[in-house]
Amino acid sequence: MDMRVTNIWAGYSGGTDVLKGVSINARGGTIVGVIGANGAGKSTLLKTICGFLKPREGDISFDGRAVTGLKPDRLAAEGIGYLMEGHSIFPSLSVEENLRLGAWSFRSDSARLKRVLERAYERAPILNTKRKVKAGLLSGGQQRILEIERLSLADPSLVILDEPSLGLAPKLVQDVFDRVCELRRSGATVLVVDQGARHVAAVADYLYVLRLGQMELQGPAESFRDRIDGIVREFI
Amino acid sequence: MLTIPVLLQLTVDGITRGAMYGLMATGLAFIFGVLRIINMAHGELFMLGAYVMYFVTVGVGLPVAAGMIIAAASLFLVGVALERSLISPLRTRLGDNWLIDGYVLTIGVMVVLQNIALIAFGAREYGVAGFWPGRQEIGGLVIANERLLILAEAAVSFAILGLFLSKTDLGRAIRATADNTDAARVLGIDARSIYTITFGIGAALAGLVGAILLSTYPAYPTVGGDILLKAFVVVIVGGLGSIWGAMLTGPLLGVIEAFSTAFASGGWQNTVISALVLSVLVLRPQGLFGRQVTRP
Repeated sequence: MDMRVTNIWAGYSGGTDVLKGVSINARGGTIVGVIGANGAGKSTLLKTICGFLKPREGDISFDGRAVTGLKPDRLAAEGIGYLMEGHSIFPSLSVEENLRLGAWSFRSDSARLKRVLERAYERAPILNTKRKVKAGLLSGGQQRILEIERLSLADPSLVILDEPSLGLAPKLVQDVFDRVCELRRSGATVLVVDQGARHVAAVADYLYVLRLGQMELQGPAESFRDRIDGIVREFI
Repeated sequence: MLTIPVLLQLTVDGITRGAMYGLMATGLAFIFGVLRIINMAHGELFMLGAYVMYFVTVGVGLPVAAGMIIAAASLFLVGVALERSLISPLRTRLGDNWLIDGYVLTIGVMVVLQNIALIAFGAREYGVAGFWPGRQEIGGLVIANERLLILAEAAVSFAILGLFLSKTDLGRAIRATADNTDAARVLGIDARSIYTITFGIGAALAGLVGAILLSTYPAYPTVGGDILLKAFVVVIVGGLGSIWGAMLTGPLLGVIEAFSTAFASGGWQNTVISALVLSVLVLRPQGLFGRQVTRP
């Protein structure tokens, strides 16, 4: 299912616009990566798509439906999973309680809930061994795994990831990006923003380079792969 | 005078009294933990609960249990109405920086509710001598029936609240919203409804305590002040926003009060408790049961 962002202008209240006419097109079932330096507007773009910021101008549509100015609590109902920047686990809730809340939109369907929980535990056995443990006591890597499994529970057709590799050990970064590829295999459209430009370029189908709130470059990811080091030097 | 039975007696008395402080503080901590509001009108919700209890049991003549349920239920509705009509619009308008405004707002609610009560019922005290006269002797301890009743009611209320928060979807959603509101919204949890329900539950707890304690605190317009102060002490000592901390610290505070009254004299309990509050604020500002880590 395609997601289209058309000519978005947005920023924080009282400040100037961070995004100055950004457009993105994510074809269904592909991974679209957005890379760029700190302050280029990557997180602002995702916050605007996910309804935490209101665009001053522009349109966002998903699967043909306009979702501009959607409230964040409607994302799940629209089939959109969002990994927020930083920590988004509930530290005082157990691992299992955290996961169950990923199924909030179908919480009364106990058969489906049981099925998706079991699948999540199969994919991430480490969570299975720590079901009753408070999520705040997990390591940073385990917390990230929990966050990604929690957003996968509802089988989102669009997955938006803000810095999924931030603060993780190199080995875990690879695991996280492998998991991102799995999401594509299951049919989801993935929009990923990350500081690790090389990792993003390696898994993405299509790449955007954001600089000072505008799209500087874009194209199929393979066209970037041999010159990614140059791009990182120049723009990031 | 320092015999074991005396010490035991003081402990039991303190726990009984403190259980109610704990229940009152739990509502306060619950509201703060989720909405980030310090509800200065919490004592007035207690006061309304006391009036409801009086009119339902003495006025209409319904049984005590009915009085408590009706008091809790009507204060839940009062809480929902207050949140929807005053707190929610203020939060929507001010965004993140509304803490001080929320504080001032609840002070306003406190004054308005006191004056409504004064106009409606006058300054006279509506009280009862006790719902269950008599006393029990258990292993040398003499406990008034009224106290046993209060203890049982506190235990049942804590158990219901604990089960609700840990075993139901709504309870888990409330705890998740307290942990990280934005992350909860992204999963589809309607934070606005969670805020309203939470304030309703906090108000219901205050109303319930007002109903249970009618024999100790008769209903009059400013009856909530004393108990609000006690609830604040519990919340500060136990850790702001920590529900379990409030549940445990309440009885502790009651025992300290009972002992300082017995060993010094009446009035000294306030000095001892103020010293306790100051020590906790200096030595362990996050409270005895609070978490030191900042929230994400």
